[in-house]
Amino acid sequence: MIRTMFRHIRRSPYQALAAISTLTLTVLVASIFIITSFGAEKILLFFEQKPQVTAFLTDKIQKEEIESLKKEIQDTGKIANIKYISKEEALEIYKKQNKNDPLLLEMVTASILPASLEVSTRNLNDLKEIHDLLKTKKIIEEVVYQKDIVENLSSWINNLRVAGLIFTGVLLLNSLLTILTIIAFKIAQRKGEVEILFLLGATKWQARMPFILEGGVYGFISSLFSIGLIISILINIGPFLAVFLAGTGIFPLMLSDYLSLMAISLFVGLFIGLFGSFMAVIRYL
Amino acid sequence: MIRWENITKKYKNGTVALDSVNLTVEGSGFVFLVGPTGSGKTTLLRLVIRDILPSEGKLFIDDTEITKMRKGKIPQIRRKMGFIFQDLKLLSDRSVWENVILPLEILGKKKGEIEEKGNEVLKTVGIIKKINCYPVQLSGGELQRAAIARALISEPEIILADEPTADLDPKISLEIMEILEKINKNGTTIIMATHNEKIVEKMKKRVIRIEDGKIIKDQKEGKYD
Repeated sequence: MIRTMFRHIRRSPYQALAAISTLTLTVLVASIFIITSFGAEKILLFFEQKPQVTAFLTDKIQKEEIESLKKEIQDTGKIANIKYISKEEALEIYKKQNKNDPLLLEMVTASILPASLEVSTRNLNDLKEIHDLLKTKKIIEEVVYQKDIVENLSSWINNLRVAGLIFTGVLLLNSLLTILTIIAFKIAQRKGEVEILFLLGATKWQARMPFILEGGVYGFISSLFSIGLIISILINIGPFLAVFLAGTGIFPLMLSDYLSLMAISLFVGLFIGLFGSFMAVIRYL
Repeated sequence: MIRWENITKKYKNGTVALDSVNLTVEGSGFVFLVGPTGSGKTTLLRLVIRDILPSEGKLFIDDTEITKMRKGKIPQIRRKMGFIFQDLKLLSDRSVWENVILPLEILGKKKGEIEEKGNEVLKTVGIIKKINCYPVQLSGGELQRAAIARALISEPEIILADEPTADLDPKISLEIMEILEKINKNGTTIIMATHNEKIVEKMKKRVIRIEDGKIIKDQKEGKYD
């Protein structure tokens, strides 16, 4: 059966090439879509977990006033985290962020930086209420919050997901139809052989199986090509992305991330190959 | 035992290939089907492997009515038979060896058994040296032998042979007949359609003459005419 399947592939190399190249493209795009979705999700999580409202405090504020404000905010029951950043801590953060630019570090002291409260809510929708509450307080000089960033990012990711799904879906369908057509053509080409097999007592599935396996082999080879391509892309652009997306926790990718990607690619490739050829044999054999 | 019961076969173009045929071939029998081209010999054989269905009548193998058999069960019946087709039906992109062992692969036999039986049957039909050749590299007689080897390899209960000596010279034809006779003595039923008068006369087996789809003669140790 396996020998017959390889004979089928060997006898029409151009069809095999067409099937493998189309499938490789689909698996590659599906992999890129999955990586992008996974990365975007992590970026969104990163922003969601960042302090979402930052309240800069006036210079003359007392410790008791800060504690009382923290308690009042905490009592709303909508707070995930609340953190006080003193002037000294603010200076440390500033220094860390600008360590490569000594010019920006000159003349800056703790006294000119404001202390602040960094507040994150459990739910993004509660952000405005907390923002409005903080605004009413006289001990607060300015309130900055990232609702727009998170909302825009969230909407951008959703759009990306929909576009990616549609694009991958179209490619998936295209690949399925390509495999179906190629296998159907092969069945027609080997009609005589199939007829002889039946006359010699082969069951339907004995005649069908080499064609189904052929689709599976196309899927498997395409997955391997796609995995090779995606891994070499990740290795090459990984260091750049690691700097660009520093702090999001996406890079460097773990071994488990690579293994998951391989498993998904193999599944997608094998699914298209086997399902496409299965449809062809059910329809034409 | 194979029993054709009131079998009529009309093709779509209106040709009546068989007309109310009643015939019984007992187990271990050796029967020649003779008659002019187009008389219905091949149709009679094709009905047995359920390649075609009769327009009327019933066909039994032992007690099983194969004309009523579900499609999914047909392979079971075909696996009990070896068929030597008139056009041989060898696969052109497979070697002699691959063609001959095909029935054993279909039966799911193990590699060791396939090797043993394959070599044995190819020796029997005398083309062991052509094992790696492809059909296009063989002479007419060698092709015929390969087809015979394929029909014999699974040691079937019934062998249906449609003109198996058509392209063979008299000497090789007789050799082939000796092989078939030997197999028949071991209990295999053989039904052979032929135009080879000399063989029919020499073998002294049951001869059934068909003309225009009707059995016109059925003799126990018959002659060609």
